[in-house]
Amino acid sequence: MVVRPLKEPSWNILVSDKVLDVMANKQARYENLVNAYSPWLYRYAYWLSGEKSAAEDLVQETFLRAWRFLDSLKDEASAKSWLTTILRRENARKYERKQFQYSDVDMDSISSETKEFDARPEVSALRIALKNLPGKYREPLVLQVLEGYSLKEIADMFDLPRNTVATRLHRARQKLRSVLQDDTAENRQRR
Amino acid sequence: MNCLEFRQLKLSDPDCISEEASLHQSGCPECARFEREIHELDASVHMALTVAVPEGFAAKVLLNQSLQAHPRRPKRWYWMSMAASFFFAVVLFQWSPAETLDEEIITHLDHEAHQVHGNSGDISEDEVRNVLFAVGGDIDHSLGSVTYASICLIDDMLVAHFVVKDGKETYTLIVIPQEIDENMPFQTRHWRGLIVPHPTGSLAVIASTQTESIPDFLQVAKRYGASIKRATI
Repeated sequence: MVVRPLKEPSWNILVSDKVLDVMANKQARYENLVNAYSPWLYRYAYWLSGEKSAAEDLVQETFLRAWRFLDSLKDEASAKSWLTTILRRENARKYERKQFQYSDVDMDSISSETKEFDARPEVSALRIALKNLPGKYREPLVLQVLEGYSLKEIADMFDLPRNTVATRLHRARQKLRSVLQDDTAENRQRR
Repeated sequence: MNCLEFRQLKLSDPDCISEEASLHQSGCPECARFEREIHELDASVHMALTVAVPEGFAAKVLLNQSLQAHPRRPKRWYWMSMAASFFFAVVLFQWSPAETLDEEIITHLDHEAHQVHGNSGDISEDEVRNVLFAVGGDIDHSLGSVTYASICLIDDMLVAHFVVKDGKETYTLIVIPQEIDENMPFQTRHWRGLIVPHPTGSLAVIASTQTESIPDFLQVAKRYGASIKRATI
C-alpha cells in the first residue's frame, strides 16, 4: 500500500489519489450510462407514470440509486435491463400508491402535446388508446415495441411466466386493433 | 400450425420467426396479410410511443447526481489538521507488505493513526450515509457520535472508515465489502481489534492498545454492526 499526498476533494471526505482514481473511473462509467440510457428511461418512465414531470423525477431517482449501487453492476451488457428494473421498482415505490389513472388525463392536453409527439391524427388516436390501456398490457408493449425486449427478457423483468407476458401482449394488440378499426369506421361514417 | 395459433403468435411476438410459422404464412394469404397488418400496427405504436426527451436531460441528471453525491465543503481546521497529521504519518511510515485482511487494516490504520486522536468534529448522518453508499452500505439507525468518516482503499477495495466515540471509548470502524467466514481477532503494539462477518461483507472494530480496559469487541461489533445495513436497490 502506497501513501500518497492527500488532495482536497470537492466533498467533505478525505481521500487519496488512488481513491480519487477509483472514483473518477466510477464517475466516467456512470456518465456513460446516463448518456446512453437516459432517453430510453425517460420514455419508459413517461409511459409508466403518465406525466412528464413524474417521468423526469423517476429517471433522476433511478440514476441516483444506480450511482449508489454501481459496483453491483458487474456486466455493462446488462446495464439497460438493470436500470429498467431499478426504474420499475422506483415507480412502484413512489407512484403506485398515487394510483395515477390515465383516464384522469385530460385528452385535450394529450392532443395538444404537439412538440413532444408525432401529431398526426391517426397517431394521436393510437396514443390515446395506449394511455387508456391497463398498465399490465401497456408496460410490456412499451418494452417490446420501443426497445425490442424479447418475451423472455420481459418475463424475467416482471418475474412472470413467459406465457402470461405473451397473453398480455396479445391482448394489448387486440385492444389497439379494435380501437383503430372503430376509429376508421367512425371516420368513414362521417364522410 | 393453424391460423389461430399463427395469429396468437404474431399478436404476442410479431418478430418471432419460427419454421412452422413461416411455413404456415407462405401457404395462407389471409395470415400473411394479418402479419403485415400487425407489423404496420407496431410501426404506428412505435411512433405513438416516441416522446421527445427534454433538451439537456442527461446533463440535468448528471448535475443532480453531482449535487447529491458531493455534500458541503469541510471547515478549514479540519483540512489543516488532516494535512499536519498526514505529514506526521508519512514520517512514521515504514512500509511492509500486507497480506491478510487484518494486516491490510493495520497497515491502513498506521497510515491514518492520527484520526483516532484527531478532532472531535461531529460528522452528520448524511455524510456517514454517503461514505457507506460508496461501499454498498446504508445506515439502519444512528451510529451515535462519529468524529471521522472517510472512503479509503484497502487492498484495492473501497472501504468506509469511521471513528466513533462511545462514552470515554473511541473505536475505529471499517466497513469492508469483502466477506469473511469467521471472526478474526488481531492485536499489534498499537492496535487491537476484531473483524466480524457482516451483511455488507465484514466489519472491523478497532481500539488503541492505550485504552485502560480491553473492550468486549464482539459486543461492540454487534452493536455498531446492527446500525449498518447492506443497501438494497
